Amino acid sequence: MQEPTFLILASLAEQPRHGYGVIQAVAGLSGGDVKLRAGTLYGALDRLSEQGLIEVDREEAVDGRLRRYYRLTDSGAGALAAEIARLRRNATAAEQQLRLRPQVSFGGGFA
Amino acid sequence: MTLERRYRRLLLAYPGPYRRGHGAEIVTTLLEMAPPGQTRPSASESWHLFVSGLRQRFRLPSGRPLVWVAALLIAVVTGAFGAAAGSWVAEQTFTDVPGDARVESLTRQAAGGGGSDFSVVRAASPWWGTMAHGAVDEPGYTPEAAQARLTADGWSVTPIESVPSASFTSDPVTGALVELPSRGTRFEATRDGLTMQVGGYVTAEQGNVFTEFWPADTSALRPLTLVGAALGLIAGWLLTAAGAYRMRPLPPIRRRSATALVALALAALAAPTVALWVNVGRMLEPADGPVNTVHSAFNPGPYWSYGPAWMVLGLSVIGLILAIDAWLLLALRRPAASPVTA
Repeated sequence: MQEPTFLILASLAEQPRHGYGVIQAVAGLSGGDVKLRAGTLYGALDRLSEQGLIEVDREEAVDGRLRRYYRLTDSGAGALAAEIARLRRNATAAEQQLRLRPQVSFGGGFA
Repeated sequence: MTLERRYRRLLLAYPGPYRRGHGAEIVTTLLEMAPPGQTRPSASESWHLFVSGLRQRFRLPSGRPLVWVAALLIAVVTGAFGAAAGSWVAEQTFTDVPGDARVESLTRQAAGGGGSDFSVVRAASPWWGTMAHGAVDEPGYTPEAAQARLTADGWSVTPIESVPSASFTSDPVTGALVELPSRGTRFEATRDGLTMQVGGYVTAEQGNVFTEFWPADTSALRPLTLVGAALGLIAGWLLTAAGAYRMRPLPPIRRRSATALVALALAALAAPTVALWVNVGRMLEPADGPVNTVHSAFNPGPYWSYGPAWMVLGLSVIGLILAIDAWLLLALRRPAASPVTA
């Protein structure tokens, strides 16, 4: 799963969101690292809908403009949980490897 | 023009059904993302939307391996027909094959007069376009004199080649078959984009001169055919993507009918597609003699030893009708369209 996809699914876990809401939530989740553009977002939303991971929650008209809200499906929640577990497993394994890295001390020997 | 209208215009890069389904919400999101006071999309934003729209046009529905197979097969078919279209356009830049009177005068010029026994035929083949063949009797024919006459008239000629020639007569006393000394020669003459091949078969008593006329390549054939093939491949892919997305909301019976029509169309177009791609290969090979074209596969003739002479053209027409039917089934709106909910 690509990072933007992962973050989009995560952004929809708490509550249904419309397009701009997803962009803001993804920026917040990634600490400002991932700034989705509209074309990328809607490409991903379309693909995730086809895969049944998200679905349309409702539509609202705000100032005469259409806002469509998307929500995570059960299948989407399952895919997100699996991806979180995979990332956590990899992160833990990487962390362990990093701890085992020989470090040079000031005394010139290995710690 | 307002920012909203500029965004809507940029969304034209997206396929129509996608735009009808998602256009309004994308514009809302774009306007919400725009900083206050922005009146036109930035260059990078415009480019991003344009590329995203194009990518959407090429996208196939996910999780549908059969659609991928269909897209590849359809692209191979449309690529072949694109190559044929490019080859046809290139042929329009070729010079015309001369008419009967001109064939006769050129044949007589090459032969050095010629007798009363002149004939002309025209024939096209599944590998090249129409050629004219002239023949006249001329006992005194020599290729050297023919070349001199034609060169003086502005034709450029290739060296004279010897070709196998055999002439026989029956011995008046014994009745046995006796071979006569004979000379067979051939050369090509080219002028104003027209090639004339001159062949001569001469014995001590008689001579026959044969000419063949075909237009020379204008060097447009290869590039136009390859461009046609590339455009055809892309068109086939886009067509499949558009069809697959139009198929999704249809009732199962209509989906199955459209799939069956597409399968029948592909089956009908299989043989013509092979013929056209083989002709692309022939066209790319360096060849002596008439210029190989791709669309000549549609000319009636023995492309394959089995099947009737019109097989390639006939199957192409049948396949095209089936493909149009499939598209109509996919693209025509349902009589009572239900509102899109997802």
